[in-house]
Amino acid sequence: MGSVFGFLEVVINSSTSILFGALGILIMQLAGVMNIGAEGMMLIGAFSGVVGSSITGNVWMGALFALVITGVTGLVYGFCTITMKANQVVVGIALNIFGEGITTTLYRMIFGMDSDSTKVDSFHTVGPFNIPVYIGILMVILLTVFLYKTKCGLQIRGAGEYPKAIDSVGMNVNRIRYLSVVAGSMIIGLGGAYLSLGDLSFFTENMVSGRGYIALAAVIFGRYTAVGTWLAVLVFGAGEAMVYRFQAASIGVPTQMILMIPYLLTVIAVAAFGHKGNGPAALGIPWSKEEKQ
Amino acid sequence: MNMKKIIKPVLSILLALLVGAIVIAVVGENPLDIYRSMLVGAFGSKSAVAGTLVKTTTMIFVGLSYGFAYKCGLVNIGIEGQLYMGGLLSALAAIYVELPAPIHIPLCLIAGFAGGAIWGAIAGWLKNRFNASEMITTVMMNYIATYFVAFMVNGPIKEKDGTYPQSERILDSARFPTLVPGTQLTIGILIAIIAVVLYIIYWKKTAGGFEMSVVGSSERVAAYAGIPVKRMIITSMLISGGLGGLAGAAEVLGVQFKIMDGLSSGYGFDGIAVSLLGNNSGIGIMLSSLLFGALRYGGNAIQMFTSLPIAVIYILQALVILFVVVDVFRMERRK
Repeated sequence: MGSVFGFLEVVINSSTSILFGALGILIMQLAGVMNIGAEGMMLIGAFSGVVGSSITGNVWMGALFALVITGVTGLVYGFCTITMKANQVVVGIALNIFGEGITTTLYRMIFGMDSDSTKVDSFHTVGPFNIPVYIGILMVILLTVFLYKTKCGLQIRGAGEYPKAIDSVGMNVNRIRYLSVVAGSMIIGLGGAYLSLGDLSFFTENMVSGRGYIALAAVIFGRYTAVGTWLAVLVFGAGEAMVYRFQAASIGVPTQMILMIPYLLTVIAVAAFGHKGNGPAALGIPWSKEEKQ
Repeated sequence: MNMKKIIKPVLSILLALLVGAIVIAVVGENPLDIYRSMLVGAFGSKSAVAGTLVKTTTMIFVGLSYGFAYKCGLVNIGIEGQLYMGGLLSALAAIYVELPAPIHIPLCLIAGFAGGAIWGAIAGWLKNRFNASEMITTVMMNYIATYFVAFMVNGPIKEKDGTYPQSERILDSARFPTLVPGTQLTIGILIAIIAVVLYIIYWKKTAGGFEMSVVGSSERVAAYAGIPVKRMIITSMLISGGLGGLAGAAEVLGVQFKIMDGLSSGYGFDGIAVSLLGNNSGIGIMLSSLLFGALRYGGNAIQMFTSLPIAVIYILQALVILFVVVDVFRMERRK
């Protein structure tokens, strides 16, 4: 029994960063803005979290700093995709490349090659988990209520599903999308910050290693609902927990084969549940009043 | 019209360099010094030019790879993985098959193409069969491929006498002959140029290329016109993957002469920028490959002679992509 619980503990711990990432992506995509760039946003969140907390000496200030920086990143993302109506996939890819470049460069410039210098405090633990884990689970519940039981949530989903209707009642589609993108980006950034502050308490180059894409897969796999996304994230968390288990057990399977598991699992999940039709109808289509939609 | 085609990428590059300069200044280096050492590093001597052209070779293959899928409406973010699988298969052919050079080199190239093509086609098949977004599957398959290659060079094909996780050196008969004696420049660049020519012919002159571009602009229209959409998708991913595989083969046969863990340092992602900046056209891809080749090779000089890491060029690359796609000057906007 103890080992089952221990396994679950690892599952939940290692999936929390992906959970934040996925919930942020969920909000953005429900509002109609596609986000391939979560990988870069998480990386920026992870880095700025470490910077903020090593400057202030407080891990929460670090998380706050990450929120601000990724909020600004989201604003730029919104400007490119909503105002300038640029191809959302390509802007996302550019963001991922930018995230890798800027964090690696700044990391070397600020901290040098010595990885010990970025060692920062971790979050407090309550019971088996640290506080952000509970915040993540709370967020799943709050988001479900917010998106499906409030007027505001309805407007967000409307902007992604049928923007014309939102516009015809005199509301500003692009303003709703901007707010969703910035809020979503901040939550994604929190996922990155959790990775560097909660999971590991240091930054390493390119540490997100595909989690942004896995989070996106989880949103699709979870059928665009908060609870579904959470369950999907737990499946991927189980993949990562299996990696640790197999590595610890040293059962003779080569390490590299074990490390493939989460990625293989994602491919299988997307293939098994990746049917379109659950996604918002206007996902990826920029809105403009004058043009026929 | 034609002027715009040239002005837009040039302005995008200039803007990217400008914003990049601000970033460099913020981290406390002199942007002019950095750009100068990059320029000298890329073109300052005969061997520098050769080095730049070697990187250009890789850039052409990855650029063509992204462009080929993009023209069919597909987003192949998995070039990195296709490069690794192509590199692996061509290395196997180059190490373990003994043949005279005129046959051995083509065989290794075919093996490289096949390695990438299989990897790309799997994503195409998953899309056709299960409606799985290729954007996610190809990224995941990058990780799977790099881990698989890491597994191979740590175990099954690890060199006999040596401690590094790398394969044996490839046989001499599989090595690309040198083009300019005393430099790194090999016939790889010629093979890349042949690939560009074939790319242009395919998209401009063949029925298959036309049908595929119809699929790229609208799957629905293509289906109405009786074009086999699914077959086009899988063919496109196959060839796109194959071109990515050739990038790996060129790296193994012309640069590293073995395969190891870090065969590519993110070249697969460079393909996206190369292709977008070149507007997915053959000539455009060739020109932007030269730019990114110079950036890559000149980037080494930055790493060596200044305190900045080579990752700076990722920032420049991302900015170039952004300025191209965001259309800052509203050149493509309707009146």
